[in-house]
Amino acid sequence: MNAIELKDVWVYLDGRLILEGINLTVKERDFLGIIGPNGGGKTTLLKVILGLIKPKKGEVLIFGKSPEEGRRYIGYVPQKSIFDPNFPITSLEVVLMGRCGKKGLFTRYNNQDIEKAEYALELVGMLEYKNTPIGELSGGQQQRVFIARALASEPKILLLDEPTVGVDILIQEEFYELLKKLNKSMTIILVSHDISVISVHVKQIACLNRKLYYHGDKRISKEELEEIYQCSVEILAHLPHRILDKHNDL
Amino acid sequence: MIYEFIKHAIIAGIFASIICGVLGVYIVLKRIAFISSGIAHGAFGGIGLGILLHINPIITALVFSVFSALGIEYSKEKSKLHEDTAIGILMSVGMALGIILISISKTYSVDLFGFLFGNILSVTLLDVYILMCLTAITLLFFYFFFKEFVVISFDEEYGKALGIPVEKLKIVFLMLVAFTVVLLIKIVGIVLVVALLTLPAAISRRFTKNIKNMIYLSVIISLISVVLGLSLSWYLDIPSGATIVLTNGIIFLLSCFKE
Repeated sequence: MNAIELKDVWVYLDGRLILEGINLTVKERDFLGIIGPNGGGKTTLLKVILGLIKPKKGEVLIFGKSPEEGRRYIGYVPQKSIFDPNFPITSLEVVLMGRCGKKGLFTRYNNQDIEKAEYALELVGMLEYKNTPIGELSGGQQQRVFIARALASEPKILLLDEPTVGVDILIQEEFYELLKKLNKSMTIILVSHDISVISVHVKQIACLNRKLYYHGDKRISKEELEEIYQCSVEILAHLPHRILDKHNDL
Repeated sequence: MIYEFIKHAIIAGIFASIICGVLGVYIVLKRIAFISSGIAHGAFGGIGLGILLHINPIITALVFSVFSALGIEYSKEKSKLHEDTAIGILMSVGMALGIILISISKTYSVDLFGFLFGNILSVTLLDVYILMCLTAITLLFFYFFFKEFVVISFDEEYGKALGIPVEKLKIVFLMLVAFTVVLLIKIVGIVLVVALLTLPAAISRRFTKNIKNMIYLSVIISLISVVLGLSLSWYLDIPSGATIVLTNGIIFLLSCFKE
Protein backbone atom coordinates (compact mmCIF):
# COMPACT_ATOMS: atom_id res chain seq x y z
CA MET A 1 0.00 0.00 0.00
CA ASN A 2 1.17 3.55 -0.66
CA ALA A 3 2.14 5.55 2.40
CA ILE A 4 0.79 8.82 1.03
CA GLU A 5 -1.36 9.53 -1.97
CA LEU A 6 -2.52 12.93 -3.21
CA LYS A 7 -4.92 13.00 -6.14
CA ASP A 8 -5.50 16.29 -7.97
CA VAL A 9 -5.25 18.43 -4.82
CA TRP A 10 -6.07 22.14 -5.13
CA VAL A 11 -5.53 24.51 -2.21
CA TYR A 12 -6.47 28.18 -1.94
CA LEU A 13 -5.51 30.34 1.06
CA ASP A 14 -7.22 33.73 1.37
CA GLY A 15 -8.39 33.33 -2.21
CA ARG A 16 -4.85 32.78 -3.50
CA LEU A 17 -4.00 29.58 -5.35
CA ILE A 18 -1.24 27.85 -3.36
CA LEU A 19 -1.29 24.29 -4.64
CA GLU A 20 -2.40 23.51 -8.17
CA GLY A 21 -3.52 20.01 -9.09
CA ILE A 22 -1.00 18.14 -6.99
CA ASN A 23 -0.61 14.44 -7.71
CA LEU A 24 1.85 12.62 -5.50
CA THR A 25 2.43 9.02 -4.57
CA VAL A 26 4.88 8.22 -1.78
CA LYS A 27 5.69 4.55 -1.25
CA GLU A 28 6.75 2.95 2.00
CA ARG A 29 10.44 3.51 2.89
CA ASP A 30 10.70 6.31 0.34
CA PHE A 31 12.95 9.20 1.36
CA LEU A 32 11.48 12.10 -0.56
CA GLY A 33 13.01 15.55 -0.56
CA ILE A 34 10.69 18.35 -1.66
CA ILE A 35 12.49 21.47 -2.78
CA GLY A 36 11.22 24.76 -4.09
CA PRO A 37 11.43 28.49 -3.48
CA ASN A 38 10.12 30.11 -0.33
CA GLY A 39 6.38 30.66 -0.61
CA GLY A 40 6.11 27.81 -3.13
CA GLY A 41 3.67 25.91 -0.94
CA LYS A 42 6.00 23.38 0.71
CA THR A 43 4.73 23.89 4.25
CA THR A 44 1.16 24.04 2.95
CA LEU A 45 1.63 20.66 1.30
CA LEU A 46 2.78 19.13 4.60
CA LYS A 47 -0.20 20.67 6.38
CA VAL A 48 -2.53 19.22 3.77
CA ILE A 49 -1.04 15.79 4.43
CA LEU A 50 -1.55 16.32 8.18
CA GLY A 51 -5.15 17.40 7.64
CA LEU A 52 -4.49 20.89 9.05
CA ILE A 53 -5.51 22.51 5.77
CA LYS A 54 -8.47 21.22 3.79
CA PRO A 55 -8.01 21.17 0.02
CA LYS A 56 -10.71 22.81 -2.02
CA LYS A 57 -10.63 19.89 -4.39
CA GLY A 58 -8.91 16.53 -4.51
CA GLU A 59 -8.20 13.60 -2.26
CA VAL A 60 -5.51 12.94 0.36
CA LEU A 61 -4.90 9.42 1.63
CA ILE A 62 -2.52 8.25 4.36
CA PHE A 63 -2.23 4.47 4.16
CA GLY A 64 -5.58 4.55 2.41
CA LYS A 65 -7.22 6.57 5.18
CA SER A 66 -8.29 10.21 5.54
CA PRO A 67 -5.67 12.58 7.03
CA GLU A 68 -7.67 12.86 10.28
CA GLU A 69 -7.43 9.10 10.76
CA GLY A 70 -4.12 8.59 9.03
CA ARG A 71 -2.13 11.23 10.90
CA ARG A 72 -1.62 8.90 13.83
CA TYR A 73 0.94 7.16 11.61
CA ILE A 74 2.75 10.45 11.07
CA GLY A 75 5.49 12.04 13.14
CA TYR A 76 5.74 15.75 12.37
CA VAL A 77 8.73 18.03 12.86
CA PRO A 78 7.47 21.58 12.24
CA GLN A 79 9.56 24.39 10.83
CA LYS A 80 11.97 25.59 13.52
CA SER A 81 9.21 26.82 15.69
CA ILE A 82 9.26 30.32 17.00
CA PHE A 83 8.86 28.81 20.44
CA ASP A 84 9.68 30.86 23.49
CA PRO A 85 13.23 29.88 24.57
CA ASN A 86 12.31 30.62 28.17
CA PHE A 87 9.36 28.26 28.11
CA PRO A 88 9.62 26.24 31.33
CA ILE A 89 9.90 22.74 29.89
CA THR A 90 12.54 20.00 29.77
CA SER A 91 13.56 17.95 26.71
CA LEU A 92 11.78 14.89 28.06
CA GLU A 93 8.55 16.83 28.52
CA VAL A 94 8.81 18.13 24.96
CA VAL A 95 9.25 14.59 23.66
CA LEU A 96 6.30 13.37 25.74
CA MET A 97 4.07 15.73 23.71
CA GLY A 98 4.54 13.27 20.85
CA ARG A 99 2.60 10.72 22.91
CA CYS A 100 -0.26 13.13 23.57
CA GLY A 101 -2.24 12.36 20.42
CA LYS A 102 -2.01 8.60 20.99
CA LYS A 103 -3.32 8.81 24.54
CA GLY A 104 -6.67 10.46 24.04
CA LEU A 105 -8.38 12.90 26.36
CA PHE A 106 -8.79 12.40 30.13
CA THR A 107 -5.58 10.42 30.44
CA ARG A 108 -2.16 11.17 31.87
CA TYR A 109 1.27 9.96 30.78
CA ASN A 110 2.31 6.68 32.41
CA ASN A 111 5.64 4.88 32.78
CA GLN A 112 5.27 3.30 29.36
CA ASP A 113 4.98 6.75 27.76
CA ILE A 114 8.05 7.93 29.61
CA GLU A 115 9.99 4.84 28.51
CA LYS A 116 9.01 5.44 24.88
CA ALA A 117 9.94 9.10 25.13
CA GLU A 118 13.31 8.19 26.64
CA TYR A 119 13.88 5.62 23.90
CA ALA A 120 13.17 8.29 21.27
CA LEU A 121 15.69 10.59 22.96
CA GLU A 122 18.22 7.75 22.92
CA LEU A 123 17.66 7.23 19.17
CA VAL A 124 18.64 10.82 18.46
CA GLY A 125 21.47 10.71 21.00
CA MET A 126 19.92 13.19 23.40
CA LEU A 127 19.03 11.00 26.38
CA GLU A 128 21.65 12.60 28.62
CA TYR A 129 19.92 15.95 28.16
CA LYS A 130 16.46 14.71 29.12
CA ASN A 131 16.20 16.99 32.15
CA THR A 132 17.71 20.02 30.44
CA PRO A 133 15.31 22.88 29.68
CA ILE A 134 14.78 23.04 25.92
CA GLY A 135 15.88 26.69 25.80
CA GLU A 136 19.34 25.83 27.12
CA LEU A 137 20.15 23.49 24.22
CA SER A 138 21.93 24.49 21.00
CA GLY A 139 19.96 24.80 17.75
CA GLY A 140 21.10 21.38 16.54
CA GLN A 141 20.27 19.73 19.85
CA GLN A 142 16.82 21.32 19.89
CA GLN A 143 16.21 19.98 16.40
CA ARG A 144 17.10 16.49 17.62
CA VAL A 145 14.68 16.81 20.51
CA PHE A 146 11.92 17.84 18.10
CA ILE A 147 12.70 14.78 15.96
CA ALA A 148 12.56 12.64 19.10
CA ARG A 149 9.15 14.17 19.81
CA ALA A 150 7.97 13.05 16.36
CA LEU A 151 9.49 9.57 16.91
CA ALA A 152 7.84 9.17 20.31
CA SER A 153 4.53 8.46 18.61
CA GLU A 154 6.16 5.49 16.84
CA PRO A 155 5.28 6.81 13.39
CA LYS A 156 5.44 5.04 10.04
CA ILE A 157 5.95 8.36 8.24
CA LEU A 158 8.20 11.22 9.27
CA LEU A 159 7.48 14.72 7.93
CA LEU A 160 10.22 17.30 8.38
CA ASP A 161 9.81 20.98 7.51
CA GLU A 162 13.11 22.80 6.87
CA PRO A 163 14.87 20.82 9.59
CA THR A 164 18.36 22.13 8.95
CA VAL A 165 17.70 25.87 9.05
CA GLY A 166 20.02 27.43 11.58
CA VAL A 167 22.00 24.21 12.07
CA ASP A 168 25.65 24.36 11.07
CA ILE A 169 26.97 22.19 8.27
CA LEU A 170 28.91 19.65 10.36
CA ILE A 171 25.90 18.92 12.50
CA GLN A 172 23.79 18.69 9.34
CA GLU A 173 25.90 15.74 8.16
CA GLU A 174 25.27 13.92 11.43
CA PHE A 175 21.64 14.81 11.10
CA TYR A 176 21.31 13.21 7.66
CA GLU A 177 23.09 10.10 8.94
CA LEU A 178 20.38 9.88 11.59
CA LEU A 179 17.65 10.22 8.97
CA LYS A 180 19.28 7.53 6.83
CA LYS A 181 19.14 5.21 9.83
CA LEU A 182 15.50 6.05 10.50
CA ASN A 183 14.62 5.57 6.82
CA LYS A 184 15.28 1.84 7.22
CA SER A 185 12.07 1.54 9.17
CA MET A 186 9.99 4.53 8.07
CA THR A 187 8.99 6.70 5.15
CA ILE A 188 10.50 10.19 5.26
CA ILE A 189 9.42 13.38 3.56
CA LEU A 190 11.75 16.32 4.00
CA VAL A 191 10.97 19.81 2.82
CA SER A 192 13.73 22.34 2.17
CA HIS A 193 14.59 25.34 0.06
CA ASP A 194 18.23 24.24 0.05
CA ILE A 195 18.72 22.04 -3.01
CA SER A 196 22.39 21.28 -2.58
CA VAL A 197 22.39 19.57 0.78
CA ILE A 198 19.16 17.72 0.35
CA SER A 199 19.93 16.14 -3.02
CA VAL A 200 22.89 14.17 -1.74
CA HIS A 201 20.98 12.45 1.00
CA VAL A 202 17.49 11.67 -0.22
CA LYS A 203 16.28 8.85 -2.49
CA GLN A 204 13.67 10.87 -4.40
CA ILE A 205 13.33 14.54 -5.24
CA ALA A 206 10.25 16.55 -6.07
CA CYS A 207 10.09 20.24 -6.91
CA LEU A 208 7.25 22.40 -5.75
CA ASN A 209 6.26 25.87 -6.77
CA ARG A 210 2.47 25.81 -6.76
CA LYS A 211 2.72 22.84 -9.15
CA LEU A 212 4.60 19.69 -8.26
CA TYR A 213 7.25 18.19 -10.51
CA TYR A 214 8.02 14.62 -9.59
CA HIS A 215 9.10 11.58 -11.59
CA GLY A 216 9.34 9.07 -8.76
CA ASP A 217 13.12 9.34 -8.57
CA LYS A 218 15.92 11.90 -8.31
CA ARG A 219 15.63 13.41 -11.78
CA ILE A 220 14.61 16.96 -12.46
CA SER A 221 15.21 18.64 -15.80
CA LYS A 222 17.01 21.94 -16.20
CA GLU A 223 13.87 23.46 -17.70
CA GLU A 224 11.75 22.38 -14.75
CA LEU A 225 14.20 23.85 -12.26
CA GLU A 226 14.30 27.10 -14.19
CA GLU A 227 10.53 27.25 -14.30
CA ILE A 228 10.27 26.57 -10.59
CA TYR A 229 12.87 29.03 -9.42
CA GLN A 230 12.11 31.61 -12.13
CA CYS A 231 15.78 32.07 -12.86
CA SER A 232 18.46 30.35 -14.87
CA VAL A 233 20.00 27.27 -13.36
CA GLU A 234 23.45 28.89 -13.24
CA ILE A 235 22.15 31.45 -10.79
CA LEU A 236 21.26 28.64 -8.41
CA ALA A 237 24.92 28.78 -7.53
CA HIS A 238 25.46 25.60 -5.57
CA LEU A 239 23.31 23.47 -7.81
CA PRO A 240 24.05 19.81 -7.24
CA HIS A 241 25.36 18.21 -10.39
CA ARG A 242 24.11 14.84 -9.36
CA ILE A 243 20.56 15.70 -10.27
CA LEU A 244 21.24 17.13 -13.70
CA ASP A 245 24.01 14.73 -14.70
CA LYS A 246 21.83 11.74 -14.15
CA HIS A 247 19.17 13.27 -16.28
CA ASN A 248 21.54 14.07 -19.10
CA ASP A 249 22.76 10.48 -19.14
CA LEU A 250 19.33 9.27 -20.08
CA MET B 1 -21.13 40.07 62.42
CA ILE B 2 -17.86 41.67 61.43
CA TYR B 3 -16.18 38.33 61.94
CA GLU B 4 -18.36 36.73 59.26
CA PHE B 5 -17.23 39.35 56.74
CA ILE B 6 -13.59 38.75 57.46
CA LYS B 7 -14.05 35.01 57.38
CA HIS B 8 -15.70 35.23 53.93
CA ALA B 9 -13.02 37.57 52.74
CA ILE B 10 -10.21 35.27 53.79
CA ILE B 11 -11.81 32.09 52.44
CA ALA B 12 -12.66 33.83 49.16
CA GLY B 13 -9.10 35.16 49.02
CA ILE B 14 -7.66 31.67 49.44
CA PHE B 15 -9.80 30.13 46.69
CA ALA B 16 -9.12 33.08 44.42
CA SER B 17 -5.37 32.61 44.95
CA ILE B 18 -5.55 28.97 43.96
CA ILE B 19 -7.47 29.71 40.75
CA CYS B 20 -5.26 32.67 39.86
CA GLY B 21 -2.09 30.74 40.57
CA VAL B 22 -3.10 27.88 38.27
CA LEU B 23 -4.88 29.79 35.51
CA GLY B 24 -2.26 32.55 35.63
CA VAL B 25 0.35 30.12 34.33
CA TYR B 26 -1.77 29.53 31.23
CA ILE B 27 -2.37 33.26 30.81
CA VAL B 28 1.32 34.11 31.14
CA LEU B 29 2.57 31.30 28.90
CA LYS B 30 -0.07 31.97 26.23
CA ARG B 31 0.41 35.74 26.62
CA ILE B 32 -3.30 36.46 26.92
CA ALA B 33 -3.14 38.90 29.83
CA PHE B 34 -4.67 41.62 27.68
CA ILE B 35 -7.57 39.30 26.78
CA SER B 36 -8.35 38.75 30.48
CA SER B 37 -8.28 42.47 31.08
CA GLY B 38 -10.56 42.98 28.07
CA ILE B 39 -13.04 40.43 29.40
CA ALA B 40 -13.07 42.14 32.80
CA HIS B 41 -13.82 45.56 31.33
CA GLY B 42 -16.39 44.12 28.92
CA ALA B 43 -18.12 42.49 31.88
CA PHE B 44 -18.86 45.92 33.32
CA GLY B 45 -21.63 46.20 30.73
CA GLY B 46 -23.15 43.14 32.37
CA ILE B 47 -22.86 44.70 35.80
CA GLY B 48 -24.78 47.75 34.54
CA LEU B 49 -27.47 45.51 33.05
CA GLY B 50 -27.82 43.59 36.32
CA ILE B 51 -28.24 46.80 38.27
CA LEU B 52 -30.83 48.09 35.79
CA LEU B 53 -32.83 44.86 35.87
CA HIS B 54 -32.40 44.36 39.63
CA ILE B 55 -30.70 40.99 39.29
CA ASN B 56 -27.42 39.98 40.87
CA PRO B 57 -24.87 41.89 38.70
CA ILE B 58 -22.39 39.03 38.97
CA ILE B 59 -24.79 36.79 37.00
CA THR B 60 -25.26 39.27 34.16
CA ALA B 61 -21.53 39.99 34.22
CA LEU B 62 -20.86 36.26 33.81
CA VAL B 63 -23.06 36.18 30.71
CA PHE B 64 -21.30 39.26 29.32
CA SER B 65 -17.86 37.84 30.04
CA VAL B 66 -18.66 34.61 28.23
CA PHE B 67 -19.80 36.52 25.14
CA SER B 68 -16.80 38.86 25.36
CA ALA B 69 -14.45 35.90 25.49
CA LEU B 70 -16.14 34.21 22.53
CA GLY B 71 -16.17 37.51 20.63
CA ILE B 72 -12.44 38.02 21.09
CA GLU B 73 -11.69 34.44 20.09
CA TYR B 74 -13.92 34.74 17.04
CA SER B 75 -12.31 37.98 15.90
CA LYS B 76 -8.92 36.36 16.29
CA GLU B 77 -9.70 33.22 14.30
CA LYS B 78 -12.23 34.30 11.73
CA SER B 79 -12.31 38.03 11.02
CA LYS B 80 -9.57 40.28 9.74
CA LEU B 81 -9.68 42.39 12.90
CA HIS B 82 -6.47 42.36 14.92
CA GLU B 83 -6.80 40.89 18.36
CA ASP B 84 -5.66 44.00 20.21
CA THR B 85 -8.10 46.14 18.23
CA ALA B 86 -10.95 43.75 19.06
CA ILE B 87 -10.05 43.85 22.75
CA GLY B 88 -9.73 47.63 22.74
CA ILE B 89 -13.17 48.03 21.20
CA LEU B 90 -14.74 45.49 23.50
CA MET B 91 -13.34 46.92 26.72
CA SER B 92 -14.30 50.53 26.04
CA VAL B 93 -17.75 49.70 24.65
CA GLY B 94 -18.40 47.40 27.63
CA MET B 95 -17.43 50.09 30.12
CA ALA B 96 -19.49 52.75 28.29
CA LEU B 97 -22.52 50.47 28.18
CA GLY B 98 -22.17 49.79 31.92
CA ILE B 99 -22.05 53.48 32.78
CA ILE B 100 -25.11 54.30 30.62
CA LEU B 101 -27.15 51.40 32.02
CA ILE B 102 -26.32 52.34 35.61
CA SER B 103 -27.22 55.97 34.92
CA ILE B 104 -30.58 54.94 33.37
CA SER B 105 -31.34 52.70 36.34
CA LYS B 106 -31.26 55.79 38.59
CA THR B 107 -29.79 53.64 41.34
CA TYR B 108 -27.57 56.03 43.23
CA SER B 109 -26.44 53.65 45.91
CA VAL B 110 -24.25 51.61 43.51
CA ASP B 111 -20.74 51.03 44.82
CA LEU B 112 -18.99 51.93 41.55
CA PHE B 113 -15.66 52.24 43.29
CA GLY B 114 -16.12 48.71 44.62
CA PHE B 115 -16.68 47.29 41.13
CA LEU B 116 -13.71 49.12 39.68
CA PHE B 117 -11.18 48.55 42.44
CA GLY B 118 -12.69 45.73 44.49
CA ASN B 119 -13.99 45.38 47.99
CA ILE B 120 -13.31 41.97 49.41
CA LEU B 121 -15.45 42.73 52.45
CA SER B 122 -18.52 42.78 50.20
CA VAL B 123 -18.02 39.09 49.41
CA THR B 124 -21.08 37.07 50.40
CA LEU B 125 -21.40 33.43 51.42
CA LEU B 126 -22.89 32.71 47.98
CA ASP B 127 -19.80 34.22 46.32
CA VAL B 128 -17.63 31.95 48.45
CA TYR B 129 -19.58 28.88 47.32
CA ILE B 130 -19.33 29.89 43.66
CA LEU B 131 -15.59 30.47 44.04
CA MET B 132 -15.27 27.05 45.69
CA CYS B 133 -16.99 25.38 42.73
CA LEU B 134 -14.89 27.26 40.21
CA THR B 135 -11.70 26.29 42.05
CA ALA B 136 -12.73 22.64 41.98
CA ILE B 137 -13.61 22.80 38.27
CA THR B 138 -10.33 24.54 37.41
CA LEU B 139 -8.23 22.04 39.34
CA LEU B 140 -10.06 19.04 37.86
CA PHE B 141 -9.70 20.49 34.38
CA PHE B 142 -5.96 21.00 34.81
CA TYR B 143 -5.60 17.52 36.28
CA PHE B 144 -7.35 15.75 33.42
CA PHE B 145 -6.08 17.95 30.59
CA PHE B 146 -2.59 18.64 31.84
CA LYS B 147 -0.82 17.11 28.83
CA GLU B 148 -3.07 19.01 26.42
CA PHE B 149 -2.48 22.19 28.45
CA VAL B 150 1.28 21.78 27.97
CA VAL B 151 0.99 21.14 24.22
CA ILE B 152 -1.39 24.06 23.62
CA SER B 153 0.77 26.44 25.66
CA PHE B 154 3.90 25.35 23.81
CA ASP B 155 2.72 25.00 20.21
CA GLU B 156 -0.93 25.04 19.18
CA GLU B 157 -0.31 24.04 15.59
CA TYR B 158 1.60 20.96 16.68
CA GLY B 159 -1.32 20.09 18.94
CA LYS B 160 -3.64 20.21 15.96
CA ALA B 161 -1.28 17.97 14.00
CA LEU B 162 -1.51 15.48 16.87
CA GLY B 163 -5.28 15.47 16.52
CA ILE B 164 -5.93 17.25 19.83
CA PRO B 165 -9.16 19.30 19.80
CA VAL B 166 -7.13 22.48 20.30
CA GLU B 167 -9.88 24.99 19.47
CA LYS B 168 -12.42 23.40 21.81
CA LEU B 169 -9.97 23.17 24.70
CA LYS B 170 -8.90 26.78 24.17
CA ILE B 171 -12.53 27.86 24.46
CA VAL B 172 -12.82 25.96 27.74
CA PHE B 173 -9.66 27.63 29.04
CA LEU B 174 -11.03 31.00 27.99
CA MET B 175 -14.36 30.27 29.70
CA LEU B 176 -12.47 29.46 32.90
CA VAL B 177 -10.60 32.76 32.55
CA ALA B 178 -13.88 34.63 31.93
CA PHE B 179 -15.59 33.13 34.99
CA THR B 180 -12.55 33.74 37.16
CA VAL B 181 -12.29 37.34 36.02
CA VAL B 182 -15.91 38.05 36.98
CA LEU B 183 -15.61 36.42 40.40
CA LEU B 184 -12.42 38.35 41.04
CA ILE B 185 -14.18 41.65 40.35
CA LYS B 186 -15.56 41.67 43.91
CA ILE B 187 -12.14 41.02 45.36
CA VAL B 188 -9.76 43.22 43.38
CA GLY B 189 -12.05 45.05 40.96
CA ILE B 190 -12.21 45.28 37.17
CA VAL B 191 -9.13 47.44 36.81
CA LEU B 192 -6.90 45.29 39.01
CA VAL B 193 -8.05 41.79 37.98
CA VAL B 194 -5.29 41.31 35.46
CA ALA B 195 -2.62 41.84 38.13
CA LEU B 196 -3.81 38.90 40.19
CA LEU B 197 -3.97 36.72 37.08
CA THR B 198 -0.48 37.52 35.83
CA LEU B 199 1.86 38.64 38.63
CA PRO B 200 2.08 35.37 40.64
CA ALA B 201 2.75 33.32 37.48
CA ALA B 202 5.20 35.91 36.15
CA ILE B 203 7.11 35.82 39.45
CA SER B 204 7.20 32.03 39.70
CA ARG B 205 8.45 31.77 36.14
CA ARG B 206 11.64 33.48 37.21
CA PHE B 207 12.41 30.73 39.67
CA THR B 208 11.70 27.52 37.80
CA LYS B 209 12.18 25.85 34.43
CA ASN B 210 9.54 23.22 35.07
CA ILE B 211 5.93 23.85 34.21
CA LYS B 212 4.49 21.88 37.16
CA ASN B 213 6.69 23.68 39.67
CA MET B 214 5.70 26.95 38.01
CA ILE B 215 2.06 26.19 38.85
CA TYR B 216 2.77 25.17 42.46
CA LEU B 217 5.00 28.17 43.09
CA SER B 218 2.53 30.51 41.45
CA VAL B 219 -0.25 29.29 43.79
CA ILE B 220 2.01 29.76 46.82
CA ILE B 221 3.00 33.30 45.79
CA SER B 222 -0.64 34.08 45.11
CA LEU B 223 -1.66 32.81 48.56
CA ILE B 224 1.08 34.78 50.31
CA SER B 225 0.22 38.02 48.53
CA VAL B 226 -3.52 37.68 49.14
CA VAL B 227 -3.22 36.82 52.84
CA LEU B 228 -0.48 39.40 53.43
CA GLY B 229 -2.33 42.02 51.39
CA LEU B 230 -5.59 41.41 53.24
CA SER B 231 -3.93 41.66 56.66
CA LEU B 232 -2.13 44.85 55.69
CA SER B 233 -5.30 46.41 54.33
CA TRP B 234 -7.09 45.48 57.56
CA TYR B 235 -4.47 46.84 59.93
CA LEU B 236 -3.62 49.95 57.91
CA ASP B 237 -7.25 50.52 56.90
CA ILE B 238 -6.45 50.84 53.18
CA PRO B 239 -8.37 49.33 50.18
CA SER B 240 -8.01 45.54 50.02
CA GLY B 241 -7.75 45.00 46.25
CA ALA B 242 -5.07 47.63 45.76
CA THR B 243 -3.10 46.33 48.74
CA ILE B 244 -3.10 42.78 47.36
CA VAL B 245 -1.93 44.00 43.97
CA LEU B 246 0.80 46.18 45.50
CA THR B 247 2.00 43.26 47.62
CA ASN B 248 2.28 41.24 44.42
CA GLY B 249 4.04 44.11 42.70
CA ILE B 250 6.61 44.38 45.48
CA ILE B 251 7.30 40.62 45.37
CA PHE B 252 7.73 40.95 41.60
CA LEU B 253 10.19 43.82 42.01
CA LEU B 254 12.15 41.83 44.59
CA SER B 255 12.23 38.84 42.23
CA CYS B 256 13.84 41.05 39.59
CA PHE B 257 16.92 41.32 41.78
CA LYS B 258 17.38 37.58 41.43
CA GLU B 259 19.26 38.00 38.16
